[in-house]
Amino acid sequence: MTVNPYSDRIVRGNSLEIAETAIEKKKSLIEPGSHTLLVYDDLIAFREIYSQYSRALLSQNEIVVIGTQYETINGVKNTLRLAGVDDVERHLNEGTLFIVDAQQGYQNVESRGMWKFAMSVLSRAKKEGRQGVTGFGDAGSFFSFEKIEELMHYELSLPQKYEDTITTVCSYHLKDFETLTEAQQQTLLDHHFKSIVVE
Amino acid sequence: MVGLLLSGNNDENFYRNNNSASSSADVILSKQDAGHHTKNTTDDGDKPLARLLIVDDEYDIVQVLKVGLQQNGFLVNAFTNPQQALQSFKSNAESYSLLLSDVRMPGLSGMQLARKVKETNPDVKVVLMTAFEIKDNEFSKVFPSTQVDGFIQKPVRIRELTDKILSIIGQSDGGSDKED
Repeated sequence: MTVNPYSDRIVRGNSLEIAETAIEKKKSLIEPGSHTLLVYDDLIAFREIYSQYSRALLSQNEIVVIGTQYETINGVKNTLRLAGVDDVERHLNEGTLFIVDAQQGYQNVESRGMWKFAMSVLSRAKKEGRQGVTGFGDAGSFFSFEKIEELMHYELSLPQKYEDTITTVCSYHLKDFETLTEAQQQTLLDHHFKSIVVE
Repeated sequence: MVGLLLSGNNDENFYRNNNSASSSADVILSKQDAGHHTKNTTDDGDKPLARLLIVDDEYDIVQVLKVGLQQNGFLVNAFTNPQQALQSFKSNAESYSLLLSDVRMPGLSGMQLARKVKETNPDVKVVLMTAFEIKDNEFSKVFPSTQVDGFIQKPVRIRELTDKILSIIGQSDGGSDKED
């Protein structure tokens, strides 16, 4: 894993190395309360990362929201089970884990749909005394619907650090990310608190 | 692994894509499905029913679809990379009858691919498949000028898929069992 010499905000590494950082809280690449960018080079890498982080976060009394684009909801459940998340169904039933269709979240009514959903979960998390909410949202639907301007507007509307106990991991398949202009890519890398690029 | 042999009802064996953790959807190929248009298979030198372009970013699904539809008499060109599929299509656009594509693919979605294919050859039929909920108006809202000829919900049986394709390209044989 390499850290950009000019900034520790861009971390590059293979998916196993990155997924391993989920195990120890102090080594986590996903800072609590941050707006983080994740660029994954294939679906296997994304699975390794979201599943290991979900496992760790659930065990730390967090609520996890996974917005999936290229994998079915059942596929995500299976991935979590294989990654060792204890009793996925119980987490789903108790509302400590949400697996949603990111395309519906971002495109059904408005691009902030996922965000609003995460905020409603945060409100419940507070009432229940949870540590916080971490959301992984795949941005792929903005590309397939050719809504890049909306995507940029949405991303730039979110701060690098939240004043609340919510953490968002905006997740991009590399093949989608590469369709952005270099300037757009750089804007996104610069705007997030930390950017994790799987190589 | 392309498939796992599962025991089904009525002695019917199903080959199901078993990469459950990595797969976004299943394709089901039964022994009875394969070759139900065997008189037209390309393997025995007969003229193919039609040439199909198949695109899905899941390798296993592409393989199962390719094998099943070839056995049912189609000439199939299959890709996991939609950009490569488009390049191949453009090099011989007139020879294809139908595009069968997954909807959700990174880099170039099935909807975008469909539009580019139709721009190159408007006569090509387009069938989109997805494991997610199908909302056909979602497509027409985003790409109103691109006509999609059919949607398929995954998982799908090869036999149903074959019949759907034949009906869309206008070669329905009026009964899928008559050659079994």
